[in-house]
Amino acid sequence: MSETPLYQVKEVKKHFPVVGGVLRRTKGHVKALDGVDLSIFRGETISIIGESGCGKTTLGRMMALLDKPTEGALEFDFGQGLQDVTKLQGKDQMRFRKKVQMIFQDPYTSFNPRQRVGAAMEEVLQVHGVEEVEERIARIAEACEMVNIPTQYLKRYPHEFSGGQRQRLAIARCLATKPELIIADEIVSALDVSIQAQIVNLLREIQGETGLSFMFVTHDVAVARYVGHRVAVMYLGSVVEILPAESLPEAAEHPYTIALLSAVPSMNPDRKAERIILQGEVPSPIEKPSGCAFSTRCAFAMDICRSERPELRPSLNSTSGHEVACHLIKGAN
Amino acid sequence: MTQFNGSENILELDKVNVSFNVEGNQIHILRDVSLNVPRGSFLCVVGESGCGKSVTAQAIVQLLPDNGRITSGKITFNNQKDSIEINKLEKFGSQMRGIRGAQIGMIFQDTLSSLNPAHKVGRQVAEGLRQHARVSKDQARTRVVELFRKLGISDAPRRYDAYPHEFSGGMRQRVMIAVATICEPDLVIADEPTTALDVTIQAQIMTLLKDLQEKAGKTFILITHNMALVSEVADHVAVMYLGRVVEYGTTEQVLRTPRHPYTRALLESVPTLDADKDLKLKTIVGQTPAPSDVPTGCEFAGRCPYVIDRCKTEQVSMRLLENGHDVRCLRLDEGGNLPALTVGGSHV
Repeated sequence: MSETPLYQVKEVKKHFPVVGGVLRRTKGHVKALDGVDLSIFRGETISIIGESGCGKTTLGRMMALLDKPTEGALEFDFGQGLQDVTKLQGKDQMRFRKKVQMIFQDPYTSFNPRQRVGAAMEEVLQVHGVEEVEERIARIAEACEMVNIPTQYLKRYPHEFSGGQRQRLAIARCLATKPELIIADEIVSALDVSIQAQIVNLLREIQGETGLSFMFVTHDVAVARYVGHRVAVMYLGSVVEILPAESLPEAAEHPYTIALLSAVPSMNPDRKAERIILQGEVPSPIEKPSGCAFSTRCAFAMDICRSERPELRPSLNSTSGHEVACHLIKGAN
Repeated sequence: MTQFNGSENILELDKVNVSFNVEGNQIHILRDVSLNVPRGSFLCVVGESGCGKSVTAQAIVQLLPDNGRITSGKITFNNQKDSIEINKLEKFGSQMRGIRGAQIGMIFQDTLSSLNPAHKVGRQVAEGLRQHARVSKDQARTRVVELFRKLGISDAPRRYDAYPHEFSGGMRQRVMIAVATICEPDLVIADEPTTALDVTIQAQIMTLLKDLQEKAGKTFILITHNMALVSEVADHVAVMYLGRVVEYGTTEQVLRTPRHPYTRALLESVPTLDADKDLKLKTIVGQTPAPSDVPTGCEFAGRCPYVIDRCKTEQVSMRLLENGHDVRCLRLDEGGNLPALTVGGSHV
């Protein structure tokens, strides 16, 4: 891991307007992302976990420039230092898109059913300016080898593949453009566990061999911990804790992270005793609680939690790289 | 629980076969499924997609899709008075309708499509009660509100008059549990009730189901693919693969000392929260064959790391090991002890 990040997300907010009534007036905003800071380093896999509606998918889409942030900056290092990519146009934007690729959850809809998968992969390379046919074929072959799909399969149509194979093809399609960051949004959640294990192993292998950076978005805490070097926990539009993956579950400090971890069913009989059942549900992202978003469900909420929003601060008690946004935890500053 | 008609099993499946008619071809989906469900127990049926776990649930309550039918076998439901052979009943006859909903409750995964969006939820919960117990509207309302409170639906009297879309996913699943339990059935079948829910909500719902089993003495059949969830709630487990039960036993037996290679593979392919990150996850080679294309011999032979020639040709039958631990595997004949179990990642 190098010192300067490959990708830096600074104070990013994304508010979707809620319109209603005959006049289609804006009645409020869904605060999908409410001030997110995140850095991704070269050669690193960062896992983003959180429950539905926490903004993890919005964050991924935004970082791939599939959505524009309402506020804040997205900075990417093309090799000459960090540069805000939200304002990039035309060729420069294409250059960014080639470097940052995305894989989606549903392998059934991410391929055109009427196009042979080989053609689908070639099209991506054409769009990204790989002019020579030989070069395209060579790159596709290389990518297919990495994901263990024989190249003779490339003449087939998407429906001829199983879910796991299609997800491999989606990964190969990304790899062929030689990206620097791959954003993978819930790519194993639609798969059976035995197939999920194949894809998880594959991602770790590719990461090890190529030194690519991955952002692995998932709701499965155990998979997130297993795949990532670092894990970022999101709740209601903000990152509440970032910590080295191997320090989970013991080192978790944020009350939400602890509750989330304890809710994960476990085979280990020792873990069952400490179950914390969170009361209530995630509040609406339209009417977010003031102060800490988690204060309405937190067993340790104090007065300050309801009025003042906690910032992400380095945790004192734990390993370096561990940051928590909680008033309970006495940070370094 | 007291045993009323002498049987300690509330439900017995004996060599149940189910076929689906797909474009004129008979596809054999369940093959000789035998299962005993002890009264008051919490049985989990686990397996991957296409293994027949949901079809098993549908067959028990005679709710198979129109192109599916039970071709042979016996499903015996032992209620408090007598033994009823469910497979002999008319699908929508009065006897079956008297059992379905009243004596066997059902909870499904997709709450949005199980509840009618155009009717108030309270009325939908009360419907079962009005149908089966013939109580007045007011009485039904009182009982539904009372049940809502027990199930942790806050502001119950007002929520009675709300519509499904006004509920969150977790709350809708509580409503579904109310639908399933309002008639006080002895047996509740829950098909992946928490798969669409977040883990913190899943924990709330599972606590609720477990309470119903432990405090109200209900029997549960939970269909799931999540092994860790099984280890938390089940006392008995049936593992299914390609339309057959391949292993059955107590949770302790099946999860701690699994004897079928498929059960082991399922356990070993899921990372746990304390998995060693330096190890690789174990995978199962290949993929589940299509049900129209089932191999002769053992179904798992093509993917099994311990396969021998006999597995590919011989029909394998279920074998009782000890104290109700049943396994369908030829390798057990040879006293074949498989290597130690490595849950959540292992050296490859």
